Amino acid sequence: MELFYIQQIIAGESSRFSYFINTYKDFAFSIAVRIVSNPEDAEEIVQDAFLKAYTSLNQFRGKSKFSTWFYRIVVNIALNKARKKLVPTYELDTVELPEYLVANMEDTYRNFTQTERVKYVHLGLQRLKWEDALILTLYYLDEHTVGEIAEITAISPDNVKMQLHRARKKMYLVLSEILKTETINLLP
Amino acid sequence: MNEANDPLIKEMMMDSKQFIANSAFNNLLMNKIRKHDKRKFILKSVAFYSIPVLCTVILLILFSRTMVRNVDSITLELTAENVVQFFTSFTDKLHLLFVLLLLVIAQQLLSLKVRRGEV
Repeated sequence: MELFYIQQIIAGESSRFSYFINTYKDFAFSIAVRIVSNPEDAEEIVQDAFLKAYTSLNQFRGKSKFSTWFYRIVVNIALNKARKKLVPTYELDTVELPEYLVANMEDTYRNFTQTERVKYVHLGLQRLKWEDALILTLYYLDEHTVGEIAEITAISPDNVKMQLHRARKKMYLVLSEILKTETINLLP
Repeated sequence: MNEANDPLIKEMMMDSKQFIANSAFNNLLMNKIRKHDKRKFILKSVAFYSIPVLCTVILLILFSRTMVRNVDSITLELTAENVVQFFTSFTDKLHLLFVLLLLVIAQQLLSLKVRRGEV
């Protein structure tokens, strides 16, 4: 159906583009926020990316999914914008992830209210390197395959797999740190 | 537990989904798109119609001037002699021919840009 809409847009029916805007704007925004960490900038990036996609639609060959092609544009624009002001993140030690930590985390996390969950996850993602946060978002939130993530981020599939493994581990470690601090702060 | 099967991380990432809060987002974007379409239409018109028309007018001016200068009466005649005269008397029309050349180049560049979808 998307290919049909694209043909209609190229033929001059620009109003059809609103389908793509409604379908992809929020996820594109989530991607942009991971890179620039600022909602206003991210919104501007999404606007620019849609405009770029609209003007380059005749270059879309349909070999990959529209979303993959479009998110690649979002990542490129976000990286260009953020190049000078990427938020510095710290590298975590590559320690093994203890199984009990995951089990404890599962219980603790599910006991939080929705607002608390959102708050802690955002805090955690902000502390990760943007590449790790982006890969986790693409893999778990929009369920892209490793191949598609490789296409979007211009990283080789093997590196995506490796980075995904590390990012997941880092997310657990970062969150356990945050929760530990929060628990200490809550103590009388 | 491997990457593909980690419900907790999946749940966390679902919680991290962000939404565009600006309710005017779609309208703003569609306005930008319409503005772009308008610009493209103008450039397309210039590239495909205006410049060739302008070139023809310049050629006609050049041709008619030669006609007027080379015939005794005001009536313009397309004779072989006048045509030869036109093509041999370039010196006083060099600047017009140069403009013509620039217009042709501009048209070619614009057409190329429009075909590539760069405008």
